[in-house]
Amino acid sequence: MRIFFLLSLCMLSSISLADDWDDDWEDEEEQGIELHGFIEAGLGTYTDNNVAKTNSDLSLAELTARLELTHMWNDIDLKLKGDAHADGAVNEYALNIREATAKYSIGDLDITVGRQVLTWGTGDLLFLNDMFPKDYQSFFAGRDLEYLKTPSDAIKIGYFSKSVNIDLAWMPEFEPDVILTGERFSYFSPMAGQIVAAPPHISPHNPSEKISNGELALRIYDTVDGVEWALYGYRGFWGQPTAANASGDPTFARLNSYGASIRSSVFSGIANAEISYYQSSQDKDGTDFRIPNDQLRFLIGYERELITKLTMGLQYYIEHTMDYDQLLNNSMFPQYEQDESRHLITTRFNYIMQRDKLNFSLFVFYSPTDNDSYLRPSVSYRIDDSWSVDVGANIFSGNKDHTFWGQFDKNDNIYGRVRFSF
Amino acid sequence: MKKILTAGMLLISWMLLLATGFASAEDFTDVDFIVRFANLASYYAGDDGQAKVRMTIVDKNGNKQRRQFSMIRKDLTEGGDQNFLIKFTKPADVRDTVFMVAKHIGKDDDRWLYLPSIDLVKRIAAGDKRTSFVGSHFFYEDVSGRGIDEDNHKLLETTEKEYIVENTPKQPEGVEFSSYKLWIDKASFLPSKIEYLNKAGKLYRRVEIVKIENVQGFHTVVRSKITDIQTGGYTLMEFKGVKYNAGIPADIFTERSLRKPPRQWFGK
Repeated sequence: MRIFFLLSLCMLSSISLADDWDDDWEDEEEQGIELHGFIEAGLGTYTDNNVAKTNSDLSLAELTARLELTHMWNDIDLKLKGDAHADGAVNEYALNIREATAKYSIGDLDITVGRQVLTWGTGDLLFLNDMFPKDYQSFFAGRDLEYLKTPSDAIKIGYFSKSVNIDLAWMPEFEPDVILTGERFSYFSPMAGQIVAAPPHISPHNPSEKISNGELALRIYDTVDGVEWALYGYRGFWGQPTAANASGDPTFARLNSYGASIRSSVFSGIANAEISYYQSSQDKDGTDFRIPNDQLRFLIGYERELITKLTMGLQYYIEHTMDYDQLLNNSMFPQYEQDESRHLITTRFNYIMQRDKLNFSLFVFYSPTDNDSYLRPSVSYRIDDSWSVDVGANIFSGNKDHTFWGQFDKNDNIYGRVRFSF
Repeated sequence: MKKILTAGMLLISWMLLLATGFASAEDFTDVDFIVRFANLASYYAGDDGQAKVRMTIVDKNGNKQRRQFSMIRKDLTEGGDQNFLIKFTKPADVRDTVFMVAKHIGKDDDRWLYLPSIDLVKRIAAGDKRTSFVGSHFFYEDVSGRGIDEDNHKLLETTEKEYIVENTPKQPEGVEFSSYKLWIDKASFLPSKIEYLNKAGKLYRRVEIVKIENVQGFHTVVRSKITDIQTGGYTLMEFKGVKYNAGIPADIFTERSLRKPPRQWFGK
């Protein structure tokens, strides 16, 4: 009731005064604590007969209250950002801290300590050298795109100079991706030879908490005449539990990766290329069936405005598995292993109308080698400065049950979200 | 070298301008000269500039939206390339978003956007510059300046206070207007009014300068209004805290500033 009153008050205040130049600017206070956030309701449902069982077959049924506090203390930027989250689809209540950071600049260094979301690389919804954790559950369920990235507990140091910039992030404890556990989304199990869902949940073994099991991520980069180049390095683990331990339970294999990217404007569009070598250091010759093999990943992309207000993006991505013969010779399920070279094409269409208020988007992943696809159509409408509405769908299809997108075939869902920002 | 030359030419031009100005009132007749000076006065005051900007966007039904941002600008060459860094403070859903533009003359601008919620630096393809700037009725081109070489200029009339200049696009297929008229104030060389005719020759868009202030000797538009005459929607744009020649270094328009706008120029 009180919230309703508050909302009506906000709406009233935004209707009054039209051509008034002299009203107060309501400047952000230079000192003190700033408070912002949003309240969001989301509802979504599966459109297929899914094996995964949620309450009333809902893929999304949740309320989120976000609070964000910022404060400056002795030249240190402090930020606390968290969600109170009630999830009716799987009966979960949680308080999630998305950001709790202290940021300080000294000379050529920017230092950020605490829980933070980290992103780098040039791909559009494809990550080659960005080894920071992702949340595919949120991505597939139609939550806001910000939830695709989950925070890391990290120390990030940025060094800046005229010739080169360096970012170094240290995560003392490995933070895996939020994977599909079978609770919300069904997936293919090679063991069962079919699409399965919880129970039982996948509950992988995390690496033990010791310093040598932390993660280190490095980026060296610069922009020269509008051309952005970067080199990347990473030492840690595969983000998903694609390995098995001695007792056959899923776990995370060690991973080193090395890569590079380049991005520039070309013919009124943006072109990018990125490459990364994934070195699976526990299985260098590819013979251990419990450990994923090395991979070479390559991406090339181009995005430009096709006609006024319509932007199109195209990406070609290749995931090449090394020592493939060894993999097949030693695999328990050679028939389900991914192709030696998995090819993926993505397209993005964005169309904006009504002075940016109405935004149509379609993102398509399509693999010509797996012959499967994932479509993400969405429409967002910004009613005013406080209210916005999003509707969309996640549509998976494939010929086979075991391919990357094909295994999610029964997880198709549609969703809608309403958000009040303050 | 080129820069020195340009600066030299500019200095001479200014001296000429001042001399003729003080010699009271011989009107200029060279329209290219008038347009070039109007462009410099509107978009190149000082070597750099900083300001807080607020937009009030009112649609045809009277619904109101707000945009508020801090910005800094650095001129690389007078009348030429410029760098901009913009940090939004309002509304809530775009707060802390940072926008960086390297404006180039004769080729596409470079644009970057930083989205703090996912720590993403997104490079944006150069788009049609005649589309809404951050949801307002102003276009990108209204805010950053339309290349003066993109139009043919014709001095229609010289009144007591103004030069009235008609501009027709050299490439009409690339724009939505057939021509626009500038009323250039003789004293400040700022346009006091701009009116756009659509392809049918009908007036459909009007920019009005509502208030000019003298900031450090530079005439500065601090309030302007743009009206979409066909729908009745309009946007008010206000500047405050304007400062020129603040000593903004050329080398701060980088990814570092995009991810963390320098406090010296953006406050907290």
